[in-house]
Amino acid sequence: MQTSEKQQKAIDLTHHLSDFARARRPSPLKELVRFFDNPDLITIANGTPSPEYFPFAAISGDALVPESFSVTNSPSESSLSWFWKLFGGARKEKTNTISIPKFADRPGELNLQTALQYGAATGLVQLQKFVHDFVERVYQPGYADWTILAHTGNTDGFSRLILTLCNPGEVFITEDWTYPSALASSEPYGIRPVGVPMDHEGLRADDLRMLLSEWDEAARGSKRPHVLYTVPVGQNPTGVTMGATRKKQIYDICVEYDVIIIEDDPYYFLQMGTYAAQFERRSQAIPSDPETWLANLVPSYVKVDYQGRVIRLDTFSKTIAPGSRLGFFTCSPQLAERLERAGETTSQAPCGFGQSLVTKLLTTWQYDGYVRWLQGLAAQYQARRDFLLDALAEEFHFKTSLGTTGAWKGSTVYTAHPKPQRGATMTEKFAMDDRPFFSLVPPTSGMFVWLKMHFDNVNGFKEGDAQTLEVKLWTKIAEAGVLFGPGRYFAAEEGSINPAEGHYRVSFSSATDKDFKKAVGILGKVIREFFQNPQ
Amino acid sequence: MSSYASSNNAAAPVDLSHHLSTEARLRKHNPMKAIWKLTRRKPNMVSLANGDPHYSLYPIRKVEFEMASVDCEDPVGTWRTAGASARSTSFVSSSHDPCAMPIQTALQYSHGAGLPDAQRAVTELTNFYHAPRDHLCTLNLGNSDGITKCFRLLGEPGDHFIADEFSFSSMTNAPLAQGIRWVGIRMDDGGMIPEELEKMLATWDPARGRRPHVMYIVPCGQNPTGSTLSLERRKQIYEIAQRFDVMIIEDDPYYFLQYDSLESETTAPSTPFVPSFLSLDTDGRVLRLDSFSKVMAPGMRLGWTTSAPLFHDLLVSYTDSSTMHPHGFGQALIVEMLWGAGGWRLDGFDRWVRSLRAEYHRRRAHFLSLFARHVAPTGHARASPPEAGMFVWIRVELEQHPRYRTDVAPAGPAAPCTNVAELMEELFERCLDGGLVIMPAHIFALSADPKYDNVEDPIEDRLNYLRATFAGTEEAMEEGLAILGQVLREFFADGQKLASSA
Repeated sequence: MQTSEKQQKAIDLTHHLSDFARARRPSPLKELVRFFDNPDLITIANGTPSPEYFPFAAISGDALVPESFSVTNSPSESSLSWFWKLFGGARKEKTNTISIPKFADRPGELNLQTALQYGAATGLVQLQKFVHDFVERVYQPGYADWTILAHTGNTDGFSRLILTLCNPGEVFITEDWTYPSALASSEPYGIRPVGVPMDHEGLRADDLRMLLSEWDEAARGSKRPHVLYTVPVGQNPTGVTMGATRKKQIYDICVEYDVIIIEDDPYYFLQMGTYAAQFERRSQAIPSDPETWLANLVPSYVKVDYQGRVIRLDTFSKTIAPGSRLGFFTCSPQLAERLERAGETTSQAPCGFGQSLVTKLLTTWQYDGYVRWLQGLAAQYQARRDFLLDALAEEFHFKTSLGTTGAWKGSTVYTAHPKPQRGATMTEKFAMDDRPFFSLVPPTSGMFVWLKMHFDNVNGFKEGDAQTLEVKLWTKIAEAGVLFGPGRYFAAEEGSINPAEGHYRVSFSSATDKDFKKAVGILGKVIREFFQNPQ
Repeated sequence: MSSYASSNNAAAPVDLSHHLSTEARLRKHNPMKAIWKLTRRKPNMVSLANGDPHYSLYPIRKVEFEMASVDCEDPVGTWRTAGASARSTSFVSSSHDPCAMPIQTALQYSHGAGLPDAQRAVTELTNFYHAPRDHLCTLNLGNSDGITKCFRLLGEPGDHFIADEFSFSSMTNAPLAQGIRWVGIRMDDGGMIPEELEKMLATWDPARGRRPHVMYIVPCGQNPTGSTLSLERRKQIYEIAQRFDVMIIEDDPYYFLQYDSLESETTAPSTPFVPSFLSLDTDGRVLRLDSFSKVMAPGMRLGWTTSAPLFHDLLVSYTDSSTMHPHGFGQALIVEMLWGAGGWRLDGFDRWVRSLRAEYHRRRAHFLSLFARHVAPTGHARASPPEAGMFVWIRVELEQHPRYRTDVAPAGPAAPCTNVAELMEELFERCLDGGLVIMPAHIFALSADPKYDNVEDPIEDRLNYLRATFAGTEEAMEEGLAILGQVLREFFADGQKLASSA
């Protein structure tokens, strides 16, 4: 626990709990755990199998060293480094063997006897210790008695939260565009989202205030929302990132209107800076050491949280692997207690293999090593983003302009126009239809590029066609062999979308460079034909 | 939604969709997972749709599980006694060496049923032991997770669910917040009494709400009583469930721990397992939960639900928008176990579980001999030897206690007329003072509803039981039962003194 004298403890926010969360009782067997943990007592009470029957002798893994990925960003190397690692350099990778024995050689050592036994829903002690230290140093929560609690990934975290905080029939606040899994978790309980407009930093503070101050319970059919769900970094799907000042403004509004903030932040460490076109890109004179890099990341909401009203969701899905199904909450002790109850009758503790392997990896790397790993990862994602955008810049003719309206105001907007075909005469080039296909703002974090389609330039476009055209073009691209995320999936509310617009979410997280080239080639071909002849 | 297309020509399965909760009906497929499925449909599809990290960015390149070798008659006994020198084999999931499930596949996002090969692995186990008619397997994060998902799938606030009158309270506690109430059915040494079940259903008062349509039951080595339903009773209960249209959630973690009789020195590998409700299920009304917790290790947090296709689809949707699929490490493990180079194969797994039950048979015998030495001679308690599982249900002969009373004025129908609850609480405290933790029966008891249940003999008067286990160490059993014997002697002798001070 932090002991700073200036920090206060979390305030009592238990009035936010749902009826469901209040009705949850501790599992009666768990109540007896205090007796089981007493070494002076003999127990013949519990159905815990004897570890001598676990068929495991040890679990080991080959783990990359923290410096595996370069943090330099020289254009010649960076965008291809992962490519060579994949296809040429697997043998050159440097790995260390990490191993977890069945029984501990010394007290406190990670062991399978404990990791593979029934455990409390809070997670392995060694993992808690590492994560607690990490949260304290990296996110620096702004109140004294914050705590952490393991979960099995942010989707599990969010689904526990929504039932813990909201009653059926309530609404919660999201960005206008949001993560569909969050909506899928809440919808069956009749808990609906209400979207707030976004700009280049995400959720707008003025619109949030307006929504809350003008909330008309009778007209809306539900009481004023008291929960905000937000993805503040590399927002899903739009890719935008919120700075410190905006977070503080939004936090203050949430204090004023007594709103709990769910900060879903899987892309926090994938902050990568501004995109520069390939010909303008310079080898950045290198980059900061890991600590400076870390200090320059935008702060988390928990840093401005002096009351304990932020619940932060972290996951190892993007920084280690999705299949580890492991993550953690950072929140006040009162909320952590309710979330633990919610966990112990469902997913219980996260899996012992994942917990022990991830813990062993982290404690082998140690804090400094893990931060170095994260910095290398950010550089990898930067190279991937640049590679995708470079490929688009080759396929289309990009024009840049300063965004003047809405979500893109103040950002550099890249608009994709048809590229003059090689060998065309000046006259042909002149006569060519130059109207743009789509626009985008290169993201500074995360995994996604959000394409805004200019369907009004499609031959024969009529008012109100955008929605059908979004589906039609998506299908054509899919039939040609490329999948994008259809924009409409990400709309918080059907009604809040401008019907003249269409969108796609393009992810640069997982394809190989060959796939990027292929996908962009297909996109160019399909889109040119489609804008000519959408039938 | 899947159709009920059956692979054989048996009678048409029953449409059971009316059992679904409102919540389950409202739940939509997670759209992101719909895209995930599309990427699997066509070869050479380039997906830029999902936020999966590229596998070259996972820091783990290989996971190796060093496992007990099963190349002998009695692998568990060999493993336990040989210590560090025991022969082992490796299940390896790697990014570069040939294996049954490459680590980069295991560590990716997949969909709610689990990775196809992992789903195939548990299907192979299920077909081998239960040969279900037309069911599908869905991976889950262990039985608690699987069961609570079934509860949400079927339970509407205000519903009553059926269970044994003494039931595993972590599970019966779980859906209370969801607005589910329980109806406990009277048991004897053989578990739930079918006639009592039938009576409850046949005389259900609609004023109490919808007639119960879901039963939660642990058929083998029931927790806490240790009882096991005979095949005859299973058939009767299934038939009643058909007649009254009840869904059965079969929670069977102790399936593999079914023992030969007490007289046998061990349980023979050839002793058959009692057929499960799943294997009797012709209607698709059984949802069966299996787990690796008791036969491998609880911390695996991996199990599976076997159900009719309709329920499978809905469990997958629910999983996609709640816990998500189980972790990749466990999925890799089970695939490597069945098909990897160092894997056990199905016959090796079968040898492991049969040898494990022989070990627990020995533990049961050890427990009972200690009980006979330390507790039975007091004359104050007797144990019902279980046919399966890990638990012994110990009856405390409170009727002989000097302060036992049967004349407590009942506060209404179904109210207790004895002081059993009070005496048992005192006994629990005395055990703690003596240095022993043992489970008191009241933790597991489902109370009757005095408004509707006209109970002659309420459960509050029958709480004179303790649940003990033979899963722990032999020292714990020895010391624990010695303490229990001593505490019982003092408790039964001390009556006078405490009675006068009360």
